[in-house]
Amino acid sequence: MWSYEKKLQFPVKIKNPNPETASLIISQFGGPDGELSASMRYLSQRYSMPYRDVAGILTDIGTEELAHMEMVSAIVHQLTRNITPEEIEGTNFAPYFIDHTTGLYPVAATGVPFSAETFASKGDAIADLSEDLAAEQKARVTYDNILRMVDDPDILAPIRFLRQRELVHYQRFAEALGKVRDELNYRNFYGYNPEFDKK
Amino acid sequence: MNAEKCERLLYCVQMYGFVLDETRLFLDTHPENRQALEYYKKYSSLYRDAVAEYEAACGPLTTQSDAVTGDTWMWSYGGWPWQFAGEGE
Repeated sequence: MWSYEKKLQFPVKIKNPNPETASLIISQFGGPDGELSASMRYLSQRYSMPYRDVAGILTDIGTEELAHMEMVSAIVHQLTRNITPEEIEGTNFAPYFIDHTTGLYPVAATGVPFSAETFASKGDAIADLSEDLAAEQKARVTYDNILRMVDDPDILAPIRFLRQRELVHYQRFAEALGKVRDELNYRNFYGYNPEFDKK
Repeated sequence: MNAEKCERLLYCVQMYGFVLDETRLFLDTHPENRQALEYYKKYSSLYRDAVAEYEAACGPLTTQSDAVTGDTWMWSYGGWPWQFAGEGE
């Protein structure tokens, strides 16, 4: 189970609302490479993972992604708090406002609602960890793209922190993939699926 | 409750908490690294001290906390992490 700690992993304190920017950053909540997708991906993959250490890294990174989802949600909330209809009109946030007001709802920057199709749980250790490596890189690219569009230092600090975590997670998943390979037949890594087949 | 003081104390909790987050992942893939383990233990202790100091002045960070005392349920009292000081009172 999980228990809640009443703190963000990294401080988020945004003084100036900006609905336009909120409509971009929300993609890291509900978009294809967002934190919700990340968390669900790793936490779902754990159960059939036969190696305790790899199930451990999936658990701990999956849990950290929940904290990242909370940070992204806090950023979007603070960028849209106390705004007026006049400030929303004509921005990219307006269509979202019509459907959700300033409530948090997981969507991509393009407006597509969150979908479980944005992540995979294949039940094969090599396939899943390869997916995880790609997912961390795609999330890193998304943060890089957000950083190209933002100049408010209050937003830059938490976004840079989140971007950096993608690199660390990528490193840890690469080590986990190495551990899985060490357990398999080096002549044929694909000879059997350790999550399903008996040796 | 002093908002500025609580912000400063929470910052310490976040700082030590992050050290643990980062080191935990490293230990997951390097479980036999003694140096990392010692580092983790050292910062666990600093983290617990920072949490105790925060909770004594600003209220519980978790519902299992020792700071859940007295005759009032204070869990929501200090506000939520996405709120600004004084918001939602």
